[in-house]
Amino acid sequence: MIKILSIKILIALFFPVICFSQTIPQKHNPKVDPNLSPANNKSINPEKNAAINPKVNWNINPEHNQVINPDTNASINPIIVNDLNPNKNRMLNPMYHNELHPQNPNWEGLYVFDKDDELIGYISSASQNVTLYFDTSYKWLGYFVKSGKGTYNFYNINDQWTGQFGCYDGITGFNFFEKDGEWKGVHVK
Amino acid sequence: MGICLTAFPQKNELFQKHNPALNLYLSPFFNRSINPDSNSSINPATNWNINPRQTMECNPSKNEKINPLMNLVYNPQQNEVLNPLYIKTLWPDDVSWDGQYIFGEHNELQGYVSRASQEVILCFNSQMEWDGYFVKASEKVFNHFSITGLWTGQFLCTDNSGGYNLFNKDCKWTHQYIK
Repeated sequence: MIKILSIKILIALFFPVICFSQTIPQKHNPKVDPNLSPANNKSINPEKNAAINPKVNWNINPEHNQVINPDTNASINPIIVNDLNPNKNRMLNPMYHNELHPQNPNWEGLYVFDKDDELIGYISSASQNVTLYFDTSYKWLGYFVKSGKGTYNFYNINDQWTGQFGCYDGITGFNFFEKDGEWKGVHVK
Repeated sequence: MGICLTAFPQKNELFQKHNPALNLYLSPFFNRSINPDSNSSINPATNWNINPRQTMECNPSKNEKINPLMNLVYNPQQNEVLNPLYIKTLWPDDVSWDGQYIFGEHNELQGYVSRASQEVILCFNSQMEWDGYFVKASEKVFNHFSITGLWTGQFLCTDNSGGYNLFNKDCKWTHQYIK
């Protein structure tokens, strides 16, 4: 009994919190599988593959394709379509459906990486058309709404379209672009 | 024997079962699954279903049924069966007492709680003075009231493992917990 207690005390002293850091599953980790990294796999790198680059493929660029632009296509605008808006539809809201929150023990989702394949966020699929975005502090930053042509427009928590958008990379996930179509290396797997 | 138990409550057999110093898995600072800073499902800041500020049904300012000043059945000052001054076994120093313990962030004992009914939990400070009570707002939430029945804004949320964590009126975890 005393021995067990001693061991427990030692554990408590050196491991104040037995926590299991958010480990990225292998099938989502570009540092484990180089095929998941745009830096290693040209086919999913928009700088190497024009088909997935909105700067040169305007079909996937909301600035040039009205069909995927929420300002010109109301059916993909969450301000107008409540079913696409987590702030109006609780089924999509991680604050009411905690299984959508990446800190929930049962959470499953996707991971956001920067150009160096470092983890910078999490993605939860709230529905077929809406995905939620969290940072590495698990703070809910906004959501993506599917717009068609493999693209997703990004809205902040206040339902404002930031102009940023995601494009399917053709194989494994999607790349995240700035309003002007520039890619800064952010990708989702 | 009774005097010994009341003078040293920490040494009695009941306390040993609830003592995080002996069972580290009782401590949210060891066991991540019961730590609201690590488990979003038990944190009202990220789970609004257990947040009285976001869910009106859990807010005693909005829902009279869970407000002891409006629903006297839940008020120990009005309902003797909930009052430790009348029901001595609710008092932590009673030899028959069976309850839970309040711990702080260093796993130190800070108080006691007694289950007066399914809906009401009494709380006592470390000196065993009755200093308030909790009223059930939902299956996972209990709001804290002063002795006079005023909502302090603080509330308990279950940790899904037989205990509770205490949150302040800003819905931040106070690092106090009940086991």
